[in-house]
Amino acid sequence: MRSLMGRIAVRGALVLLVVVPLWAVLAHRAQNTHGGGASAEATNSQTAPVASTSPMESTPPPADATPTYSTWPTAAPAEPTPPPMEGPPVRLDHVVVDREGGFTFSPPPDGLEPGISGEDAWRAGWDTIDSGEGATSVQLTFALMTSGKYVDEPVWLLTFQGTCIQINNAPSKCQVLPDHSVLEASDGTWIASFVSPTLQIQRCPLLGGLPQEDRGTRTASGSSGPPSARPCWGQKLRSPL
Amino acid sequence: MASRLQSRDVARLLLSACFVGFVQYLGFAPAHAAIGCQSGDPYDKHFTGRGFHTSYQIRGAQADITFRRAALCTGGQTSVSAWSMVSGDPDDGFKYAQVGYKYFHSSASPSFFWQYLKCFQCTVHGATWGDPSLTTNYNFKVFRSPSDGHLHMNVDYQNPPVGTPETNFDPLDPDADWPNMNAQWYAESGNWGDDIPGLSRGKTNFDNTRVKNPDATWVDVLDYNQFGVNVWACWDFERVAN
Repeated sequence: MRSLMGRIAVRGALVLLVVVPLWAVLAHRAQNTHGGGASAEATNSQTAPVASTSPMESTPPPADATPTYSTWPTAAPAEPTPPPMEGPPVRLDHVVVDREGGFTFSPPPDGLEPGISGEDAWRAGWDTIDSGEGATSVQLTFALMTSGKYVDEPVWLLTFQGTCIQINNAPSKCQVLPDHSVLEASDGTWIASFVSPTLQIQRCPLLGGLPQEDRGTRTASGSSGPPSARPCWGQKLRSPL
Repeated sequence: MASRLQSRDVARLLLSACFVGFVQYLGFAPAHAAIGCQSGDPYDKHFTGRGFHTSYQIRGAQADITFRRAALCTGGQTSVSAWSMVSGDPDDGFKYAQVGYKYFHSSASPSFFWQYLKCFQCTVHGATWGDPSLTTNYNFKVFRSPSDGHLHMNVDYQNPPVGTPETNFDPLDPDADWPNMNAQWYAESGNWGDDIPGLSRGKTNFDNTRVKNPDATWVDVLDYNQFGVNVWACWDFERVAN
């Protein structure tokens, strides 16, 4: 008759014999089924993040263009450095609609002022907003936001350039895209952050062509690029605060 | 005789795997200690949760996931998340729609998020918002709406307070090229040194993992075992990073 310890040892060995291969199989399957697999990723070329070359005019790449992929940085400074502002905070004076994202930004009425300055909102928000890390610049815009439960909510819209948005299902990859955060203009409380390839806050108007409300839309197939590629005509749309 | 032994071995395999996970759940995993972030490919650090990988054409995925904090490494860029997802192809990580919660970097508060990507050549869409409450269960659901054909992403059966959490395409449209819609539920970390949400004695819990059938009914994913569908039924409490 085997001792209790002996039986435990035998069963323990058995468990090890069967568990280790099982774990290996599961891990292998996880790699192959989750995240696209290493081989598929390896064939995709990776390029370095591309900073915005014209920070005064945030012009995302055409919607149907292949996005710029980069490798998600795993070793970054302990305290991410806030990016520099592109210029002084401005006041939106035209309507910008992002139909896909479900956001509408409108000019604040005359006389309405934010409860907190753009700089203070920016400083207060940097530690809490869930975006902007690695950005090369940021633009602050005072506007009214209508989205979801919010109707004409005074907000600070922070538009980051050069941010690499993590691809959640392939965590080692990210796409370089404009990135937005909205803070309550009363006290700088963070509301949300979002990436919208079609939302464009421009300094210059689109003269002729599509009405403002149609800017930034595209078809479901992504076949038509946003009209942001139209040249600006130098007419100022937003005024510094 | 041989087949009987084989069946017994398979059963023993599954029981052993569950047993090890259960032991770790009881608290025998090593205690967490904050460690520095390290360079490396975090791709290998996925936490293997439940996968529903099959050619079966599901129309949605949902789960109740407990919000727990995660032990994150220090001195680097961190990322950890837990979510429900519909994937367009289990062999292509660039076709998905998912909703859950995440920590994006070390200084940011946890938040809810949704994100989708139609294809590798497409631009990613997504948003983060909110303030998850510790130990609270949240239902995260991705589903195709027959009315518009889009995939919608909800938290606790509602849209987020801002934005429109839905795809701008129908995954069943042949042009979308989503050949094998499948469901997945995971917690994952984005850095060597990060841990997934939860405690050393038990990682964050996934309950009510259900998939939506083409006939619009929601069924428990475990019910698919009877059809021989590949479902990872054993939720193993694997320590990922430390």
